[in-house]
Amino acid sequence: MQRLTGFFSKLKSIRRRILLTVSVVYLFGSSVSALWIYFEVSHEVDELFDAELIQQAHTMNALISQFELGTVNQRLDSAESRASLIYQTPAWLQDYERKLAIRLETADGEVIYASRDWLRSESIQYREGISELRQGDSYWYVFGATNAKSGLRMLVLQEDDFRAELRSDLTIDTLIPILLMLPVIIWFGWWSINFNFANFRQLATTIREKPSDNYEQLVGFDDTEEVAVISQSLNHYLSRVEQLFSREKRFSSDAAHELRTPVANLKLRIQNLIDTSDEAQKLTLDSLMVSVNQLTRLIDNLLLLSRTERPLNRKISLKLARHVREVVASWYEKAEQRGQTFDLVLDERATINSDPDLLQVLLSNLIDNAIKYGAVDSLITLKQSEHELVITNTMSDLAHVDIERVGERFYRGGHLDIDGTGLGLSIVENIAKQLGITVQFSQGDDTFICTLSF
Amino acid sequence: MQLLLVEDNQTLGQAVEIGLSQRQFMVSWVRTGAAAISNLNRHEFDIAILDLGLPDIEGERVLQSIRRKGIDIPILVLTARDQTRDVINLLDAGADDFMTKPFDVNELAARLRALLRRRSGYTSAKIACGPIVMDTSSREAFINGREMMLSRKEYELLQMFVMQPMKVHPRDKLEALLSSDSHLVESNALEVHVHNLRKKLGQRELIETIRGVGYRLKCKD
Repeated sequence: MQRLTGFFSKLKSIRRRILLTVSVVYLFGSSVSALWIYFEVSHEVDELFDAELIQQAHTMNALISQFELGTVNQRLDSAESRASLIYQTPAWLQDYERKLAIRLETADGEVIYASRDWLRSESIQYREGISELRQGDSYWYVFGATNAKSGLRMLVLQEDDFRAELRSDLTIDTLIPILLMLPVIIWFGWWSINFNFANFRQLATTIREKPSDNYEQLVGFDDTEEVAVISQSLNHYLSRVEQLFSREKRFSSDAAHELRTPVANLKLRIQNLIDTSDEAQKLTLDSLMVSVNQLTRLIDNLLLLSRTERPLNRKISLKLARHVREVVASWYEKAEQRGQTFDLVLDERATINSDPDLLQVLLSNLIDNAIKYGAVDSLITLKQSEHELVITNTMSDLAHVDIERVGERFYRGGHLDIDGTGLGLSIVENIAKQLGITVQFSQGDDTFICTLSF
Repeated sequence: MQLLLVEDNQTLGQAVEIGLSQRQFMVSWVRTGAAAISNLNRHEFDIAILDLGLPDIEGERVLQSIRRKGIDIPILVLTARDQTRDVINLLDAGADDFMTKPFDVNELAARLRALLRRRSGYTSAKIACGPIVMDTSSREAFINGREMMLSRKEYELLQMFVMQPMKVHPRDKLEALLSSDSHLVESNALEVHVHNLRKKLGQRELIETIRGVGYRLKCKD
């Protein structure tokens, strides 16, 4: 059963299917051809040997016609004896000699001459012309004719071995070259299929190695009609994706402009007012400014979120420890203001294939999150091994966090007092997906843990 | 200071005009790319602010056109785009600086003043932080008025610290600075240079080790 499953799974290859089909068709054609040859050869062999039987009967008839009726037996015996004196059949030909026989009998069925002993006693139903006779295990062809002068009946017999051997020899000789050619044909077929499929492989390699932001048309795949059809369809698809991508990019760019311009205006107006206001008015304007800054961060994060859903740029090999250190350094002052310290355990040798800009945003969001939601005067630990980075921070009110909902857009776990947009971890999840990183959020007794697996 | 503001948005343009006028800039405000090119051809301006999203000509093309005409005043670009590639394209097209919307009017005014200072050739050769003073033209460094004898690498390291006091510098960035002209850097070269620098500064606590991350200069500028 397992072998059968293995066989059928191998047949998922078009190349193997073509080869198997060609081989089966070749074998079927060869078998039909061999059968055809067998029947044709049988027919021709029968005609040839039947003619020979008739010819022998005619010769015998001519011979008997020269003898007196009562002396036929003696004359034939003496002729046989004389013949044996002149020519002694070699031992290796005696087997062949035994495959031919003659019997002479009267119209009453009395045997007057038989070239083989068994033939003398054998009861044979005489028939004119060609008939068949089974004698023990052997099978004979018999030609019967009557001598017009003496009325004697002549029976010339020939064993089927002759014909059967010729039939099988000719058929086997025809089949052997066909069967010998089969491995050669299979090898040549496999080579030819692989040679012609090379363009498909080349097309697959080109598509696999194409950066996700490269929408250039595929060229040089019009040698064969089949590959050209796929290449043209892919080119059509690429141009549609490119159009869609540039439309989306234009939308993001336009949205950024449309959203940021009124906020910029609002911010400038408030600043201009602050410059000319008294202290009481300034307090109100400062709180307005906080809202504007929050709105700015929200817009920035929304735009970043939409950007992280686009196709990825080319990945390069990066030293993970270096990027972790750079991001920690950039957030160090903010952590320090909250009395937080970092504990870093980094594997300096670990490298990953990634997009440096997106990785920077991902790490930055996680560390910002750890600082913002981490308890004051606490420790933030970053432990990085070859395939993992674990960021742990202490939280004073972890009970408010529904761990299943972390990463959900705008979910802030009841921390509405903390300055944030609720999009940071959604951005992290999106980027992680883009970079092929698994991100997992969990919680300990009083700790929030983020595990990145590379 | 004569400033040309190119901004198509009525309310934003007005707000920038008011904000900069309050900070001693004489603002001429136009709303299209064509008007910007024509004004810069006809009048003398010290500096220009150019918004990228103009109704008639793309801001980047206005920028290229201005530079092709040989007008070399400092230009600060206002953009809603903040991706690295966009910024590189802007700087390549001839912008001297850029700010992403929304921006702080005080920061905008400060950047404009810095651009004008750079334009007039005035840039202070002296940088200082707490007791440390460095003269970047003569490459001399002083601690409490006393000159320190620093090696080239130590000088470069200290300059990086003084230019960004209180900022944590990851060790990779500092190591890259030390290996800028030599591929062979000992694994503890950074520690050796920092140790020497601390000895020459005489105040060990000035350069703080941030365990696992890097170093920073602990002083207020």
